[in-house]
Amino acid sequence: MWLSRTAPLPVRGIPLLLFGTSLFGITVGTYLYRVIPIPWETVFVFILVFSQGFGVEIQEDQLVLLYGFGVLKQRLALDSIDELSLLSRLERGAILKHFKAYTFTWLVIALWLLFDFFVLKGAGNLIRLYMDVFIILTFTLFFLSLSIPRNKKGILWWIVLASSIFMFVYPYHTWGSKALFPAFIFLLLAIFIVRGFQNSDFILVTVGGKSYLLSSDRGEEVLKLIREAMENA
Amino acid sequence: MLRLPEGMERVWLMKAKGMREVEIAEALGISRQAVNKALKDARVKLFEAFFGLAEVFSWEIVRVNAEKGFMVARGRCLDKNVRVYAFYFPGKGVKAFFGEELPDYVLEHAVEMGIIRKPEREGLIKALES
Repeated sequence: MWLSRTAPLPVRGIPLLLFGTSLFGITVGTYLYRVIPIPWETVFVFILVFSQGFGVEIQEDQLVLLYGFGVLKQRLALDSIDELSLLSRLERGAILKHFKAYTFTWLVIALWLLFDFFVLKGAGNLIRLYMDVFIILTFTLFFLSLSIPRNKKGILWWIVLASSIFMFVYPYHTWGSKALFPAFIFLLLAIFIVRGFQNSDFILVTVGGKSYLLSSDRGEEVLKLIREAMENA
Repeated sequence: MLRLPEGMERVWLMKAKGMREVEIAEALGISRQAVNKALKDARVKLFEAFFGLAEVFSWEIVRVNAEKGFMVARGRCLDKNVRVYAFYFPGKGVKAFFGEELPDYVLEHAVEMGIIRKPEREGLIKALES
């Protein structure tokens, strides 16, 4: 049975490795190009897409998490499930608590780009320098969305407001009016990220001490379907 | 009210308190496979009990932990949304509580099950809600 409108997040194992490598790879593409001149960004964007959740399926007595267009699979025995939670509906639920490696991936990349911005000066490339600022703010927003508990989510909107103002004022001051359009894109992206985190259900599945994360817009239904499958397994 | 069969409950309780399957098997003089089977059955029964309870009272399930035997749900009481916390008490079955005013024996139970370290209400709510 296919669980529609539900997908796993690359929070552990090979999907997480591919996800972290690709994010980092995209940001170092410019430097790698100097050593081996191939379009590194394109390669790593493909790996990033490949690392993403494709769907969730219940097969007999297993919950199968699919990644990379269904090529990568994580199989969880239904009768070994210890916990099922709607993380997004727990008063103090934060993804960070259960998925530290995944959450800190966003922060580590943001910190690396901060280093690139201030120390390496974006390899002397103005567009890269602008992208550094753009990605630092976007990834920090991702990190905070994953770290701040549900009962304090209001803070996120203040952060969106502050970072959007910065994103309009700083590039305008530094690079002129041509930087205003991408700032508008940032604003839309920031709203999309925070709304996405607030409206989606995040389902935590714990099996034998290992946790997995699913995202769905029908969390309660998915929980019931998994429970029914457990009963029939 | 659902209660786990005595033997299954003993195995589940030992596991909930942090013992490994091999240790449980040695302590009870049974095979590791038997321990594994008992744990699987206990988990399924606990999920069934918590989900069943939520269905009867039309609560929305937020969290079910079969390893430590508790559930967090959202219910309605006098047209107000209230939090519901339910626990499986060995030898007694499932008991549910509305709101954060949990009695002292629940705190002691939570310490015994390893949900919290100290019998503090705030600590227990934090553990259940995060």
